[in-house]
Amino acid sequence: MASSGIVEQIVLFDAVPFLTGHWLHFMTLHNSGFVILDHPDYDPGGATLLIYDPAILDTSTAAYIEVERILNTTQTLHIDGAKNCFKVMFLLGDQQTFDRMNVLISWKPQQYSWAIPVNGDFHFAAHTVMCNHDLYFLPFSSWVVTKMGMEKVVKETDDNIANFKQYDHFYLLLTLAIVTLLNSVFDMAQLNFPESIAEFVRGNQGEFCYICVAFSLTSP
Amino acid sequence: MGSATSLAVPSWQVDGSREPHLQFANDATRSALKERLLSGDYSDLTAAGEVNPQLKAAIVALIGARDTESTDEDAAENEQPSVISKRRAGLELIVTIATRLRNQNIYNFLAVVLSVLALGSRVPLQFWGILTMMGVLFSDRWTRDLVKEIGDEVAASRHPHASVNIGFGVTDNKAYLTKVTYINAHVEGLIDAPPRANGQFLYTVNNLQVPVIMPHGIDLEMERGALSSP
Repeated sequence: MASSGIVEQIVLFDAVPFLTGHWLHFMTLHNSGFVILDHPDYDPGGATLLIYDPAILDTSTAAYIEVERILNTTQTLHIDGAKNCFKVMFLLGDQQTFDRMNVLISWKPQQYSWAIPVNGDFHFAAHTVMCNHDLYFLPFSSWVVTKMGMEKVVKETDDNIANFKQYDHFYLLLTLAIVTLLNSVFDMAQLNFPESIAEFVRGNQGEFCYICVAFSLTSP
Repeated sequence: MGSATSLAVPSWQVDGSREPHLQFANDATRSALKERLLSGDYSDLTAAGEVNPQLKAAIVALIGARDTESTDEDAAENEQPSVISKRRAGLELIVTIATRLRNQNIYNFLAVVLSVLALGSRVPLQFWGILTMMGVLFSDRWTRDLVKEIGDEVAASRHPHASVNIGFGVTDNKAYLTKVTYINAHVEGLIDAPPRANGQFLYTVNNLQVPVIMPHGIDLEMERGALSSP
């Protein structure tokens, strides 16, 4: 590992049990007749409390000095007593903000000991989808895009986050199609062991049986 | 209130202890108005008609309309008791305008709620002005002041079970072309700074805070930096 204190704390994560758990969960759901793309439908129990603070003008999140300004404004308002005297504060932001906050905290650990940066969930989802896209577009999903005539909305490269929903919908659709196909080919007794299925189709490099890709895509 | 010679207004909309010209728009009535807007109880939407039953009856008789209450009973049977019938809403609007013809400063609840909805719906100011002139809505400026006042009070308030030790904030940037209607077109606190030009590109970082509600109101005791990495 690198010598930076931050990097040294990273613990290697064994993803296989995590992926296998999700694989089994979604395969079982689909096999039981549930729509795996459904979103939770429940009563959250009243209004969500949100309090807007004044916007910080003429500031973005690209430069360290700007993110430092955000941290200092938050500290004035919510740590040092202008509005609150929190001892710790979770701070959600986009990828840029999250990244720069972590670096600033490593530079000034005492000053920002109250700050706990957290990935914003939208940004986390968007980056995950685009990572999958970068990994699998050429070997796999480009074939689907061509077959379905979706070249104008799902491209090999796209740097506009405003188009994220197009990619999200495409990969959700593709995931559902893969799960439906696998359930029509294998029974649940076989699907309970994804490694043996992967071994079974290892020799197939055809268009339909790229099981490793399917395993990854169907295990969010 | 409610004499035979004048329109009655709900009791919270008038403070009889004040001078006549201050009876309707004062601290007490404004506080009562904000309390109702924040409570989520909108039963007062038809209060003006309810405190003027004779006027309602006279209008119904003059127009020859059906009894406006009957549709509410139908709504109750359909398990939608909060639905106000079209006829009742129309009649309430007539009483509302009549009330505001008596004194435009009366905080008629229907007119206030309609004004806030108009602000939320971005009703064009030109059309808003016409509705204000007719007494249907309060003015755009008055409505903005009211919602800003309520927003400031909500921002300064504290949930009784909110943690005082743990905060939760969300921050993200946004860039847009300033228009004169945006609140950020003018920079408060910078006396010598000219207002931003219409069409100027503005970078902002918007922040919001979510109170962390503790179960049973029992807060976690901790020192600053208790959760930071060693």
